[in-house]
Amino acid sequence: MMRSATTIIALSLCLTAFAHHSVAVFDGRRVVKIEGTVTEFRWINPHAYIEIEGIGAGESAAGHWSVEMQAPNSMSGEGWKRDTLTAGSKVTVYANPLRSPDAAGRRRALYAGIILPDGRTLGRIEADNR
Amino acid sequence: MNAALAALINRSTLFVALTLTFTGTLTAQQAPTVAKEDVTRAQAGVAALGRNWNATVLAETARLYLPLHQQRDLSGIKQLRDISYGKHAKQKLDLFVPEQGFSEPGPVFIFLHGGDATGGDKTLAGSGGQMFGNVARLAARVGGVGINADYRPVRAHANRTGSPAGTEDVRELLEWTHQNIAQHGGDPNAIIVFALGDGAAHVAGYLFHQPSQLKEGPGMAGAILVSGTFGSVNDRPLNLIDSYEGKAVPISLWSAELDPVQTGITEMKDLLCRKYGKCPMLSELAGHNHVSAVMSLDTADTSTMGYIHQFYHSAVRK
Repeated sequence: MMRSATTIIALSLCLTAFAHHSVAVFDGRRVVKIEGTVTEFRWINPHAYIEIEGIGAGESAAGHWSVEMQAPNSMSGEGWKRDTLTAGSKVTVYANPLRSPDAAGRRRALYAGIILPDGRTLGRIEADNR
Repeated sequence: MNAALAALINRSTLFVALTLTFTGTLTAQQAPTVAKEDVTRAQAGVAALGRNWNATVLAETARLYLPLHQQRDLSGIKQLRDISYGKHAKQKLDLFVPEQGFSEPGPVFIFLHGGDATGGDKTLAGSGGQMFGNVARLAARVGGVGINADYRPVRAHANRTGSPAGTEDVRELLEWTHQNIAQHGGDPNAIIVFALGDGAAHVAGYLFHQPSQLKEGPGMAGAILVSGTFGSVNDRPLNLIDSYEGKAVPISLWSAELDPVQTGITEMKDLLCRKYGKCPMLSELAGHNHVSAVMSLDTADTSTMGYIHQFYHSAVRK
């Protein structure tokens, strides 16, 4: 049992943010739900990004959010593709917010999971936040 | 409880702790489909090989990990093979680059294999071309650029103990990297050299000998030295440490539990502790033999990823 849990946990997020900087700025204990419209999906290294205009549902503030993901070649293991999202896609993103407010006032978060426009889910969708 | 089982539990517990430290609590929902049974089989097989190191252990360990490599999706990773970084036929490297491009430079991982004295090569015979490119492939998977390099074997030189070829090749490899890696998306200021066995000894010899280094200094942000044979070549790297006056590079030392002989790893740690007043990271790889930790990289066996992650974010990108 422990062996299985180790494999799952390790493969899922140990690689997160390996490529660029520490994920310590994000609060791994909190997950916010960001509902809104994708303005840009950047399928690029070291990190993919979802830029989203949030409508202010639940804990997440309305306005622009920049959601940082893993590298594309890591995300593809979860089912992501270059064309999974396009500008205009209506989505719900689950993500770890910053521990402290960004100095420039940007809303940033670390991707955990998503509900796609067709209802499919990828990643970690927190039941409590649905 | 038998020794193999104890080793497995040890590795699990340690890694869960490390992972939670770095990433926070996670659920299992993000897990892609992995062959957990193959991971268990490989780890148990390595444990069964015991505290030994020879050609049979090398071949058997590769056989155990090969199925895990064959499960990996290689799409999205471009491979450029046999690029020369020097004049000698062995001074070649394979480059692993993500196909999606970069918005900003990614880190660079350079791997140097071991087995200098016994015919080591960047591509392990019988590994279906999977090992040891797996370390560089991992770099490309996580948003960086990977290099899997060969180097001139010391045995090709008349006087093995006196040959500087190892350190010369480390320098020439770094020269090539600094001159060329930006055009492939890599950040020359974020180079991590990851080296095994004799390769680790060559890197250590380079790191503690200023005349061997680039004009600008070591030219790397960190070094992960796995089962380094620091005491096998006239103790050369160990003897250089006290007199070295150049820039200190963060070092992570990996010591495999199933290596039959420790060839200077603890001595290196102690010398560095004394010299700098701060000790390098020393990771004890429970349940791993001389090559299994390296062979596990970029597979579903993530038992050593936490060590890389921890070192990377303490030494390179904080």
